Amino acid sequence: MELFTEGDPIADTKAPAGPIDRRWETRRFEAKLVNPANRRKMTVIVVGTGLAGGSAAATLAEQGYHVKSYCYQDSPRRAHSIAAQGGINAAKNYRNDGDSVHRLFYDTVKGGDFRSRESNVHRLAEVSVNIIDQCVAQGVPFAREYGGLLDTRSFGGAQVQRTFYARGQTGQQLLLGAYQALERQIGLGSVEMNARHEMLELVLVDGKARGIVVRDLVTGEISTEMADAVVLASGGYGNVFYLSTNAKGCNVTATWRAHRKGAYFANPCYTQIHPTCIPVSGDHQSKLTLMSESLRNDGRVWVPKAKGDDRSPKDIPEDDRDYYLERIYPSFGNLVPRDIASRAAKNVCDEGRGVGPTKLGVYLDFADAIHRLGRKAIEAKYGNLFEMYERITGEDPYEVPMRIYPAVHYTMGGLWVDYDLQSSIPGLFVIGEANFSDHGANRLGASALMQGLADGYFVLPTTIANYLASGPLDKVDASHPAAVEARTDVEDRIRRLLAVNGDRTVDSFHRELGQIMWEHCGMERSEAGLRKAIDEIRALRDQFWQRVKVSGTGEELNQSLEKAGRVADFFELAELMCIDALHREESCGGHFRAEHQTPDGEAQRDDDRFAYVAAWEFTATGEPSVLHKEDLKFEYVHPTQRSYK
Amino acid sequence: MAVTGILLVLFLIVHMLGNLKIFTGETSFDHYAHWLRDIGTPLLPHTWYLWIQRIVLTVAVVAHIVAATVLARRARAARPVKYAHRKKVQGSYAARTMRWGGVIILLFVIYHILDLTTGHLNPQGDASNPYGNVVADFAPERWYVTLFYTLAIVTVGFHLRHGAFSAFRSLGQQTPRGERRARNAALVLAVALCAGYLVVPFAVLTGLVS
Amino acid sequence: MNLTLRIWRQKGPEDKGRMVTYPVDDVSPDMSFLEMLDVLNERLILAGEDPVAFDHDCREGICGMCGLMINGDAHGPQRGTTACQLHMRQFKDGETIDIEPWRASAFPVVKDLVVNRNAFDKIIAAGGYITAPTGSAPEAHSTPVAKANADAPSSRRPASAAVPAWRPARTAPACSSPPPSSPSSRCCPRASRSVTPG
Repeated sequence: MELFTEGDPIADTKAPAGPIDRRWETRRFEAKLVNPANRRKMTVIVVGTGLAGGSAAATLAEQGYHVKSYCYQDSPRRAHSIAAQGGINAAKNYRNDGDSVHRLFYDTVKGGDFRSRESNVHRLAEVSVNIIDQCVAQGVPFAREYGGLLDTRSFGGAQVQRTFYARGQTGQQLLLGAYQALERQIGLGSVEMNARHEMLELVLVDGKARGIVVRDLVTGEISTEMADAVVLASGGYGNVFYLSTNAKGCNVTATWRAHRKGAYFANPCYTQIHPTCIPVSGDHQSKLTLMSESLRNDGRVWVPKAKGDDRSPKDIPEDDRDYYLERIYPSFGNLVPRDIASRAAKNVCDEGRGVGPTKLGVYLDFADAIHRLGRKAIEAKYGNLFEMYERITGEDPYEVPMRIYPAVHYTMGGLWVDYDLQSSIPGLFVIGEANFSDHGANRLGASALMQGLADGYFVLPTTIANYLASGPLDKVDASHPAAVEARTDVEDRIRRLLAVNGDRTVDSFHRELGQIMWEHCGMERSEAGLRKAIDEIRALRDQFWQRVKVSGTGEELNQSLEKAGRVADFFELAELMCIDALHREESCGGHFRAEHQTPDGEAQRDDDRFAYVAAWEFTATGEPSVLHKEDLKFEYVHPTQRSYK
Repeated sequence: MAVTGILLVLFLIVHMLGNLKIFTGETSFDHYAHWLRDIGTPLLPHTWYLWIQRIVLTVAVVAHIVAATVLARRARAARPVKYAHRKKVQGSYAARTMRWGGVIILLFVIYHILDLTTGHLNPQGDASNPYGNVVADFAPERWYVTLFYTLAIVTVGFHLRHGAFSAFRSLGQQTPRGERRARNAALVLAVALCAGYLVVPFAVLTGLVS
Repeated sequence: MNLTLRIWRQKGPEDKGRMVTYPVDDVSPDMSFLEMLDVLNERLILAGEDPVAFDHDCREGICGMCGLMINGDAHGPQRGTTACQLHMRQFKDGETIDIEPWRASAFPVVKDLVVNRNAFDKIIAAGGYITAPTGSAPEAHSTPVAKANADAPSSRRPASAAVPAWRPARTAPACSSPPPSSPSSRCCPRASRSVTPG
């Protein structure tokens, strides 16, 4: 059977033509407005309360819409945006170092390996400057210079210092800013907050997104919520790998349910792998912890030269060590980009030279830096990271080299959206990591926070008005046949999950799925591996529906049931990810195909065949998906091959 | 709690200073004791001032106890189900004994009034000769009375050490530096009051005052 | 490691609840505390029993979702460490560990170790914010903030030093010049931020 079929090409019809730096302004002017008196009669559902969802819900409410907000956590301020460490990019050019909106645009398109849409990225760069103003006004404690002005630092993939940061907790501080704006609207009664609620289905009426079905995670009550438009800000799907730096609750259910209802899923195979995470310590591992990439500025990466060298790192003499990044990439050394560092680590581990109890790890050694700069200097720079490492591993990195290994960190793919951030379903908008739009095949450091806030504060509130102004939409309520059907589907599915009553836990399935994905659809993919993975995923999915054991009932707080629903969706997504990776016969950004590399092992793009967005349309469970191609045109940034040798 | 506590502390200071007059001799002390009944005359009739002060102090004591009870009940209501694994309460000995210490002090005050104000429990009980009453009270053969007084005064000291510090906090002290100062001030106050009160019975016990 | 856990089990808000003893063996010292609970739950599920409900999300010490009382200590014995980053090597083989929910009538138990903490959000909604509607912000550099104030962790900052970012630190008196964009800006800053490791 064919894995997929090809349908008609699609295009983004919303971005205006003309010079790129005028497009957003033109769109803002041409977009229709909603009369303030009418706004309060309109309801918008926002799913997710991270940087994108929180800022969107707050801003829409400020504008006068009635907003219903949902998150699965116990409070909107828990969303995983909170864990972002590094910072947020903005083209403020406070350093006078040659930065500009155009340069941020250029760097982002290039960093995305020429797989993103120019119009969207340019808008992102334009809006970035407003984000910093907005956050400062909210009281976000960005780092300052001695004179009291904002400090910036440099970050991967850029030669200018444009990253604003708040200690190592930028995400937390930005989220608290968006959270307080949201809470203000909750206090004023314009946002109806529903924490501990999970979206389980999208409701379409006459082809338009008109509501969602949610489960109250405390009581288990299923309810249908109707609105004039639905916004998904439900984050990425890195947890399909089971082990990732995502929060345990992060899931694909909201976007996947929308995909099943007709929203196209774009570029699912683009996955970002972060090279400096604390390695897996055993089968019990539930999550991977990221350590800031800045560690590579002073640490040297090495493994033993010989396979199976079990000596303690202190006993391995210099001559028996292989500083492989410095050896292979003499000019960039330990500072090669994320994907290259990750792949190199995997390669040496595959050769059997990995270190640590699981042999899946490489050393990141600070002995030289401590010798050169003194322990005090290292403490001042990395003290908190070293402490965290010691807390987790029980080893003192001042004495023993750190062990690191790559981990899944971010997913660039997501629901396909046009320039207005509207998906292929009218009335369904997708923002933040949940959409595919701005990062192409690879996201630059400190750009995720920028995109989430750009979408939520500035882009969506403008573009959604254009859709709402085209109304008024018919009045519908939860008794509409389409809504009833969606609700029945949700209830049936829960009943099915509970009825299997097999002999394996949800986690055991999830762990196995994660291993398949990591092995075959992780840092390096090959045709044979992907085909094998697809077979294995399908077999495992069948097993899941026959053997999974979910305890308890649907009418109570039931965490094992919550997980089961999410893992069931991950199975379907995993298959699509592999198919997308298989069909993209090139290497680009976060997608590396073993068959497509330059003689010296670098990613080799194929711009003639693959300079497009792969937007997948769902047909039916088990049936091949339909591929729609959106061609990417590069008028301002011309594709080049990157090299870090 | 803080306001009523401060009223009571102010009384304690004045009362202590009055006690110390015992070192100035029998005549002087008795004169002082009788003068207390004449404060405010001729504006106020004889002993009126004293009764006003007694009423204010009684109200303060009652309000202090009521406030403590209300707070204790509120604390209990805030955690209706107790922890199964309960760690030893953090805080000094003084902080942990505030409630029972307060009860002991109340009992002592009742005894003290019956002893040296009304004279019912005093071996001499002569209202015209307070000096003699005191000397008779703390005579060496009545060492157990001195012991009881000592224990009660030390309890007052502990109560004050934590109480004064808490009062500063209730009244708005909130910086770390101010907290250190408040702690020291409370300690000095407690030690000074204890010393001032204990010196009288011990002076009688050792025969310094007779 | 072999451990004995005594865990608070409570079916729902109305249930009385009680401590239940579970022996857990083969615990690796490299497990985090929550991973140890995961192991217990997997075994309970396979044995047909109800797994222990507990809140958790990021598991990297920043989201604030986990909050167990472990042997009477919030987040357990290691200082400055959340339960998700607490590792079993902090405990001794053969130890008995008491695990309870946070107990306060304002934060009622939902189930087992899961607690309803909405009261915190209500405090913020009641006024724990700076009023700065989207789009109304002045240029970020128009108001400097002293580096010392920007750098100080909120835990070590006296309440009086935590200033809204728009107030020029040190020079201007408190609340002298709220920016024109936020006329109703409050003088007090938003509730202090939680301190997190890492």
